Amino acid sequence: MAYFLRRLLHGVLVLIGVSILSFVFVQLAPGEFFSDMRVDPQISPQTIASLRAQYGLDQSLPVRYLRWVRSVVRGEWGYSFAYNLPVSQLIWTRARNTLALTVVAALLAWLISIPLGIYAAERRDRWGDRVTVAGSSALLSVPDLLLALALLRLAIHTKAFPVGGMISTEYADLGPWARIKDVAAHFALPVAALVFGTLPVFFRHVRASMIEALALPSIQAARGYGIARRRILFRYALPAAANPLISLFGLSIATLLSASLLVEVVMSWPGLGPMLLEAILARDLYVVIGAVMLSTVFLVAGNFIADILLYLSDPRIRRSQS
Amino acid sequence: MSKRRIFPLAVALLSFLYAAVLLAGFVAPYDPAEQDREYPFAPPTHLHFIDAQGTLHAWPFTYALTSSPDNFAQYQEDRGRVFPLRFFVVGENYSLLGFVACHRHLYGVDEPGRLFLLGTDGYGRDQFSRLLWGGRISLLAGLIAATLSLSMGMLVGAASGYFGGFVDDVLMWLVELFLAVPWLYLLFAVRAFLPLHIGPTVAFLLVVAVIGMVGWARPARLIRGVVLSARERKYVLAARGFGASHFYLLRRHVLPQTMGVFLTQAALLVPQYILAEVTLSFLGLGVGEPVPSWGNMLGSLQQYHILASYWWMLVPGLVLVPVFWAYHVLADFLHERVEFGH
Amino acid sequence: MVADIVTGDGRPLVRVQGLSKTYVQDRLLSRERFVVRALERVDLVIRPGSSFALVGQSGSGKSTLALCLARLEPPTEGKIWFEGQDLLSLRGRALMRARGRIQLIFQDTAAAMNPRLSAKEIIIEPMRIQSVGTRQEQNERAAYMMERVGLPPAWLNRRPHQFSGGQRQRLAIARALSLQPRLLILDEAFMGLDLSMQAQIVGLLQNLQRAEHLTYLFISHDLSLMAFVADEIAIFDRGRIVEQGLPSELFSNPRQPQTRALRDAIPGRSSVLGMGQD
Repeated sequence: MAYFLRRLLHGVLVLIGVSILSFVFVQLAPGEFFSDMRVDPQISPQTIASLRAQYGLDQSLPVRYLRWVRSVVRGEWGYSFAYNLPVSQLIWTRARNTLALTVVAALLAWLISIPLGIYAAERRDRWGDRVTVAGSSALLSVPDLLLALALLRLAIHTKAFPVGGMISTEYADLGPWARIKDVAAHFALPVAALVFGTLPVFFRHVRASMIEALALPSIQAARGYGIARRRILFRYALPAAANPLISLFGLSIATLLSASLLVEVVMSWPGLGPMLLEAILARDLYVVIGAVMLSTVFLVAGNFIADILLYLSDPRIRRSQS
Repeated sequence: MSKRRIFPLAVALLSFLYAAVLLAGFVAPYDPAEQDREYPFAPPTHLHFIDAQGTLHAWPFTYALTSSPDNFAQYQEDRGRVFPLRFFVVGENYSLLGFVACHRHLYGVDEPGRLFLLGTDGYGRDQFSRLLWGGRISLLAGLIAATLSLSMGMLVGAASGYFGGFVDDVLMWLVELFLAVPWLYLLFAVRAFLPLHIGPTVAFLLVVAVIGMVGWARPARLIRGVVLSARERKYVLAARGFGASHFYLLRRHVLPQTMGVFLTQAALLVPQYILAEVTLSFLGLGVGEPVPSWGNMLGSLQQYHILASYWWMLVPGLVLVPVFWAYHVLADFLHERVEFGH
Repeated sequence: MVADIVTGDGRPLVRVQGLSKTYVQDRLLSRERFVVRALERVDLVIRPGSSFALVGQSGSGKSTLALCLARLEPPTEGKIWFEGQDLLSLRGRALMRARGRIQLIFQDTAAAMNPRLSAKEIIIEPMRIQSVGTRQEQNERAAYMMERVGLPPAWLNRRPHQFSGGQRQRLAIARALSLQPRLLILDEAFMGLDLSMQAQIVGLLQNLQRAEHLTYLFISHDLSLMAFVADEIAIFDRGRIVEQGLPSELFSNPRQPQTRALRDAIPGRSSVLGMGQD
C-alpha cells in the first residue's frame, strides 16, 4: 500500500514539475507571448479586462502560475482566447478521442506482437523467425508520417474506408447501430497507422524477452523434466518475460501518444493533436499548456498502471518493498 | 543476409546519400526555386530507347511534354522531337558546397526539353532537384540536432554520474520531467513558444535547436549509468591513489567508456531527428517556402486531391525509408559491437 | 606489546593514532540508519624498512585501514603521521608528493587495471599523473621496472588480461614502484596464487625491499604466510587490533581467541586434531 502511495505522490510531483517548467519556458521565450495572442475580436473589453485580472496576465510568473493552478482546481484549466471558452470544455472530448485511439491501438499492437514474438522466439534463427524479423525491420523503417499518408491514399483510391475525420456528415441522421459502425469505420485507418507504426518495436521486445526467458536455467530444467512445450511457454517462460514487457508497456504509452499526435493531424481525427496544432498557430497559450499537461497525465498514469502491474506480477518487487 | 554484410551496405548507402545531398547543386539538373508554370504536376519524365519510328537509340532520350488546355496536369508526349540525355551539361549557376561557383550539372537535356526525373509540383518545380536540396536541410538538421542533444546529454550525464549528490538529484529530476512528456508534444510545445513567422535560415537554426534541446534527457540518463559504474572501478581508485585530478579521471578512464552508448544513441537519434524536422516542416512549423525540405515538400499532400492523384509527391517520404533502415542497421551493429565488448 | 625492532633510525615511518572510520547510510524518508564501524580507535606504528602485517578475517576492516592510509577514504577520527608529517592535513603539492611515497596494491589486480590500456601505459600512468620525467624517461623507466619485477620488456604492449594472475601481480608491483615509494601497502597480495607463485612473489618482494629500502604493510587473512614474511603482526578483528607482536610469540602464546582461531585455521596446525606443533 505504501508503495502505491509513494508512486502516486511521485507522479503528482512530476506533473507539478512539468507544469512549472512549461510556465517557466513561456517566460523565457523570446518576445512577449501574451502580446502575440490573437484575441477574438468578439470578446468585449470588459471580458478581456476580467480575464487579465483573473489569470494575472500582466503580472509576474509565480502569480500567473498560481492563478492557473487555481483554475485547474476549479475545473477550467485556463481560458481559450481563440474559442472564448474555458479550456476544459474543449479539451475533454478531444482527450477522450485521443485516449480511445491510443488505447485501442495499444491493445491491438500488443495482441498481435505477443503471439508473433513468442512464435519468433521459439523458432529462433529458423525460417519463421527470419521472415518475421525481416518484416518487422522493414516496417520499422517506414516513418509514421509516410504510413499515414500511404494509408490515406489507399483509402481514397479503394474507397474502402472513409478518409479522415471521426464521423460522416450524415452522422446526426443515423440510428444508434449505424452510428457505431460509422465511428468504427473512421476508426480503422488511424488505428491501422498507429498499429503498423508501433508493432515492430513491440514485436522486437517481446521476441527478445522471450528468447532471454527461454534461455533461463529454470526453463531448461523444465524441458529436462519433459514438461509439454506449450505449458512451458505459457506457464513458465511468459511469466519470466513479463517483467521487461510490463516495463515496456509503460514506455509504449509515450511512443503511442507521440505517434497519435501526428496521425490525428494527418487523418483529421479530432483528438488532442489537431487541437494542439491549432492552438499553436493561433497562439492560444492555455490550450497549448492544457494539451501538453493532459498528454503528460496520460503518460504518467500509464506508467503508474505499469508499476502496479509490475508489483502484482513480480514477487521480487513485492519483497523488496516490504 | 548476414549482419556482417549488411553493415557495410548501410554505411555505403548513407555515404552515397549524404554525398549526393552535399553536392546537390551539381547532381540536380535544375534550380530548386525555378518554377516552370507550363508544367504543374508533371509526372516523372520517361526515358526511352526506341523512338516513334522504331529506331533504337544508343542513348536514352526524352520527349517534350505538351499539356491539353482543358485538362489540368494532363500531359501528352510530343513524339516529334527527341532530346537525348546529356551529362555534365551547362545549366544554372550554383555554388558547390557553398563557396565554389559552378555551372556544370551532372545530367540534363537541351532546351526546350525537360527531364523531370521525379515529376514536378504545383509550381512546376523539378521534384528531383528539390529532393536533393531539401535533403540537405532534413538530413543535416537531423545530424546537427543529434550532435547538440548528445553533447548536452554527455555533459549532464557525466556531471550527474561522476559528482553525484545534490547535482545528481537535481539533474535526474530534470531528466524525469523531460521524459514525462510524450516527446512530440514536448517538441511542439517548445516550438509553440517561439516566434511563428520567421525566415528559412532562422527557422532551420531554430528547428535544430528545438529538436536538440528536447532530446537530451534519454542520452543523459544512459550516459549517467555508464559513468556511475565506470567511476566505481578499482582502476579509477588506483589512479586517485596516484594523485589524479577529477579531470584526468574523467578524460582517461571514465568518458572513454561512454563511447559505446554515445555512438549507439547517435545512430538512433539521427533518424528520429530527421523525422522531427520533416514533421515540423510538414505542419508549417519548421522550414518554410521557398527553401525546400522533405517536410514542406510533403506538406502539399495535406490536400487530398494532390495525395490521390500525384504519387510522385510522396517521394520525399519514401526516401526516408532507406535512410531509416540504414541508421537502424548502424545502431544494431554499434549496439552489439561497441557497447558489449571491445 | 610492540617489540623493539630498530632498523635505520629510531623514528617510525608510519604512526597511526586513534583512527576510526564509521560508515553511515541514511535512507531518505526511512527511520533506519545503517551504521558500520569499520575501524575503531586503531593505534599502530610501522618502522622504516620493516614488514608489518595486519591479519584478520574478511570484513574485519583491514582494507579500510589501507584505504585511509592511502588517503582514498577520509577517516572519521584520528591521526596519521607519515615521515613525521600529519598525513591527513596535507594538500596540493605536498599531498601529491605523499601519494607518490605511499602506494597501495589492490586485492583484485585485474580490476585495478584499465583493460583497455597496455602494460606500458599502466606502469607509466603514475608518472604521467605526477608529471615525472619526459616521455622518453618514462618509457625507459617502464622497461626497467618490467625487468625488475621479472617480466619481459617485450610484454609492455600487452593488455592486463593477457597476463596470468601472478604476472599481473608483478605488473601491479611495477606500477606501484614507478614513483619510488617508501611505503608499499599490499592488500591480499597472495590471494588466488598457487604456492609456487606465492613463493616467487615473496622472493621478489624481499629482493626489492632490500634494494629499494622499502617498507611493507601486508594485509592478509593467512597467518602462516604472514608469519613467514612479516617482522611484526597485528591481529585485526571487527575494526580493532586485538593482539600484536612477533610472529613466533603469537604462534606460541596466542592471548586472544581471535588469534587462536586464525592460527588454528591453518591446515596442518590444528590443535583440535592434536596435530599441532605446540
